[in-house]
Amino acid sequence: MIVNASNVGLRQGATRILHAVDVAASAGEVVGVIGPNGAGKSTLLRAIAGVVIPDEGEITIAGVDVARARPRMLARQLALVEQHPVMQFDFSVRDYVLLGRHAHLGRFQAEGAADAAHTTAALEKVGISAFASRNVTTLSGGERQLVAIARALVQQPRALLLDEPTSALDLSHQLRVLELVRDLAAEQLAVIVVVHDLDLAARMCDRLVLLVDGRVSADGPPETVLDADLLRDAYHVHSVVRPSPDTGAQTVTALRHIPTPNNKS
Amino acid sequence: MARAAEIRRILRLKSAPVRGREPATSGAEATVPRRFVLRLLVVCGVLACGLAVAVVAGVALGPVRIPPLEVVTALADDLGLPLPGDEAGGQHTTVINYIRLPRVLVGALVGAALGIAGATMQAVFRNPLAEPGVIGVSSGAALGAVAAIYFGWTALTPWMLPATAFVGAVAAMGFVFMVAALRRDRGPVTLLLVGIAVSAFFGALISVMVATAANDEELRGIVFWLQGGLGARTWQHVQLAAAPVVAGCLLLTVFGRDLNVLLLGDDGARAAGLDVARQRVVILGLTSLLTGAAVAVSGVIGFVGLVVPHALRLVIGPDNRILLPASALGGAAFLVLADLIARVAFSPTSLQVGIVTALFGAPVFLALVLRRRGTTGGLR
Repeated sequence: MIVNASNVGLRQGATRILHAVDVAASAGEVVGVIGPNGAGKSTLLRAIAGVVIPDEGEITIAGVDVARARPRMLARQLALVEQHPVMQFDFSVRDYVLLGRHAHLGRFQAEGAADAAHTTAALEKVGISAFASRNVTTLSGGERQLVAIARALVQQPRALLLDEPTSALDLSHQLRVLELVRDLAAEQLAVIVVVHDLDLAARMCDRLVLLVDGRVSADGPPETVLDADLLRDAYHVHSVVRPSPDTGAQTVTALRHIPTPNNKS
Repeated sequence: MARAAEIRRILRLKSAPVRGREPATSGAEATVPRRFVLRLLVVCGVLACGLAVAVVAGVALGPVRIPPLEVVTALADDLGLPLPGDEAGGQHTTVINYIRLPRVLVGALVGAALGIAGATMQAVFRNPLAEPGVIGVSSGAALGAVAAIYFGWTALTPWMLPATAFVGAVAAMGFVFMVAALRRDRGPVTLLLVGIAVSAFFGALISVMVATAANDEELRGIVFWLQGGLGARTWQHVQLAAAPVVAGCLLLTVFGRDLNVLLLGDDGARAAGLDVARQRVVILGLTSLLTGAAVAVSGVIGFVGLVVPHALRLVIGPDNRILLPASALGGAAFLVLADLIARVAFSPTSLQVGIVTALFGAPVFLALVLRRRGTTGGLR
């Protein structure tokens, strides 16, 4: 097991965001975290990345305790791609990606030929070599997401965390990210990805974790988690779930909203 | 078609291993580290030459014009490097050594401190509009100095003024951090907001002191100091500023790559392996020490920390490993030249150097604000 989060609880002020959450991902496995808005998906990802430290439970990456690991050491095991990567200064795509080598460099060490080669390889893998010299501030949302993934890859992590990598992307970019994630898993990376699009989640992930109100309400292969009853309880919608004749993956069609006390239509 | 894509996919996998094997390096990649060092040397070399020219011009020009050759000879002599044809004890040696040179050197030190401090804050706050005064350090230093004049501590020893300014700067920084720590949040927005509040509060205290100043002389002293200037600086001021400024600049330069990584955002930087909270305290601590030392010997001089890093960033790009030393050298040259303009533009009347930097800096600041219209200024 590369990523192992057990019994994770987290409070923000008086609000409990996560309750006893268990999530694990082994090498070569893509685990999707799904759930309604505000369920704690991003917070869970941030906790696994060591950005926020949970109040309860333990998270280990390749056996290393996240709460105690030095950020440098952690960054060599695990990389995070944020939903909105910050790109405000005029770095070229190549230089931006090269920043991901930070954890592999000593304080007085400049990037060397090997770092440049990792960058070239990552750009190629993500398929953005063509705009390596473009200014990151001029990129579209889809291009930014791919650049951020390339930056994460040069960290040479064992585990990759992606926070809604496809939510702002058009069809073609969504598909590229989907293929890329499968490629990376094929290279024995453990991938945990927060996804809103359930159809995409079904195609991308080996296993889905359904998070509702900070609790795991289901964990298993897409065929079992994408279940009309489970989805009704989580999202308060009536839906039809059936395998796609083209991909074989489950597809979810939401039909009707169910009014609830907190959620009137 | 599908088969071609499959083959491409396999090739892509082979060409780019994620972990384990090192990818093969091409000839072009092998030159990467050399290119960086070369860029650093060229940029710093050019700016150092610019600074040298500014220093010679700053010493040579003024009410008494001194031939540049005599200045160079005298400077070489001061450095213990007698040049061939050295006429020992030129007729302007006193003017050079006791009036112009200390003033120019204080200007260079203060400019270097403000320049590098500005570049650093812009990276830490991820906002090109950030400036050394922004987190309240300059206000703290100003309050300290004004208090020294107001309470007559300067009568005890002239060192009280820089000393209290220094203490004020450090106290302001400590206060800003205490408030930020109480909120358990040291994000850029919190720091900026706390800085604004601290500046306003200290500014109000200064206004109270100005309004209730006991006599005209005291008032003139306070106002003069608040305007910022390099007039009547002595070797004592050089001595006071030299150690903290030089040490601070060298130490900050070491954090160049950390500042680059900080540009990924707090979470992004942390996930990329930077201990964000700790590095930010260390970096901002150094920055405020530098700013405090600068303000202590020259008063509040605005816009150097804004104009210089920004102009340099346009030319040499955002890489802080180069931008930081460049901002120190560029800031030094800029302030020495600004002071030169302040002295000779309306000769024999001499302006405060802060007036000149504001004349250049305020339009630049406005241009930046207008260019960033419609964005959040990088603060989310």
